[in-house]
Amino acid sequence: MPIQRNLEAGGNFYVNRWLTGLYNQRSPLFVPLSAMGLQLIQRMDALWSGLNMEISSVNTLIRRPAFTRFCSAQFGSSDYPLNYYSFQNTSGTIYPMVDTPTKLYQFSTSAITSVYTKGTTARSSMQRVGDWLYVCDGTNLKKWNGTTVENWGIQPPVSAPSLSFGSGALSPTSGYTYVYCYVNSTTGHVSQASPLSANTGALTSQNITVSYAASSELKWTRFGYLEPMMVADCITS
Amino acid sequence: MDKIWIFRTDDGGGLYYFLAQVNNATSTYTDSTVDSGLNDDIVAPLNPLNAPPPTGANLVCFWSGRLWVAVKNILYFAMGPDCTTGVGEEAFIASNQFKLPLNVTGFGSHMYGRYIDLQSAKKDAQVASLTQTVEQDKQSVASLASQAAQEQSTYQATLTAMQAQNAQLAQTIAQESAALSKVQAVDKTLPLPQLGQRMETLVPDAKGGVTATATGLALNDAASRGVVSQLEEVPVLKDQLSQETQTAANNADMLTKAQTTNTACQSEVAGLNKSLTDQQAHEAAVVAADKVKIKKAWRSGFKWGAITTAVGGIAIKLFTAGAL
Repeated sequence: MPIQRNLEAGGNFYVNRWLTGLYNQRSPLFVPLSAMGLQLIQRMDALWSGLNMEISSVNTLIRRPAFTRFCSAQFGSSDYPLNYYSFQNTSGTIYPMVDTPTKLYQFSTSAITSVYTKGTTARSSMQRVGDWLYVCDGTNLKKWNGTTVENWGIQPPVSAPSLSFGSGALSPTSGYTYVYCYVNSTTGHVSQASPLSANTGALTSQNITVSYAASSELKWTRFGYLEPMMVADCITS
Repeated sequence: MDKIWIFRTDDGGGLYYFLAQVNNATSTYTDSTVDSGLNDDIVAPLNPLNAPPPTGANLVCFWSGRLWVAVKNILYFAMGPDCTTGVGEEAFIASNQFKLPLNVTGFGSHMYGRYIDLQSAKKDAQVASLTQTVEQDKQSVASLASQAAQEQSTYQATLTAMQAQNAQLAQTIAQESAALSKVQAVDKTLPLPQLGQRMETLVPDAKGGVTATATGLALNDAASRGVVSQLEEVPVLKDQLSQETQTAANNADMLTKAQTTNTACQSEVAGLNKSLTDQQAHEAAVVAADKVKIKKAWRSGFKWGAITTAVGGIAIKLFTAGAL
């Protein structure tokens, strides 16, 4: 444990949280030491190459949730860990994650659950924002909230809406122009707008029928399934 | 995607307000909404807003309220708080990017990363300034090269015309030499009366003064002097011809040397270009080395600053408490 050097009982002069800063190539088992004359001073806990810390939404450093010490489940024969990550959502649930050449997994002390199949053996990079975990690996761009996998970003419509007219209630004097966007109602994200439609021009007592192309991009839905995991591969500190 | 949002302008307006939400399975929507029925709290994200994350993104981190991703040496940042419709972490703009000199291989948390970024920005400004100078120099060199190429082109055209003229002259000389040999061969066997006439043709001053005899041609006084006078001109003309030939050879030599000089100029221009490029690379390397030095200096300064602050604080407290 790092020493909290409270230099005054009243706490006016107090070495704040993580001012030790970044130490590369350090042992994860010991906090950094500094020499002051003949004394060795144990520094505050340091950033461990960013692996033990993360930045909060208000730009402060906070400790990243740790991992379960042991997992009894096994990987499949072609899987092995490429990367670990853990995050805590706004409800307080902690999700330990492990990335392998074939899948991204969530794991616990006794189970490993596939989040999605990657389709590339490249290492995934993960980052939590709010309740969502954003993952990319050079091929996949996904986000996951512990239940649902969604594409990260939406491909926008490529064609402008076309217009036709029928008898109705609208009488613009200059005219209307339309665009449309694809929306993922689960994430609330809205794609970039389509190209602009033609202007209707002045109309008298007309309704306007807008024709558009539906998105072929499907919403992802993930229902986890359990897979065996090699014990030795899953031990984490 | 499961929904489609349709946006429309007001009558004659330029902003696209939310009109309706429909299921993604549909393909038409009939609009009968008057302007006051549009939801002007939601505005359509027109191009370039809300683009998807860049293809090939393989690193991600969160900093300063935005998601950052890297594709090789390009660092992209999401719209974040700038996104008014949709999710800021999913919305990107192609121009929200920094191009770095090397591929990005990882992100690290750092409390004073912003400070280092500012130092980097200063160095980047220096590089930009140097780059501009080098670019101007390059333009000057390019202008010189263009001028030299134009001169070379003019010279080449003149040279080609003169070479053609020289070839024509050489041909004429050869024809005249052949004609001379032919006439001389005829003269050798010409009967004396015709030989006399030939002499009078060649030497106008001998006209009427040449008479054929049984042993040869007899010339009166005027004809004799005319022939001798004309013969006097022959060695002088030969000498002049020799000197003209030498002058022509000198001219040809000068032309060759001019061409060599022109080629050397072009090589010099190429060398200058390479020198400028090397200088640019050198300056960029120096700036990169400076950045590394700044980082190292900051880390060292931070370490000793923290120690000094701690020691100073202890000393002040002890002094205040009367221990010192």
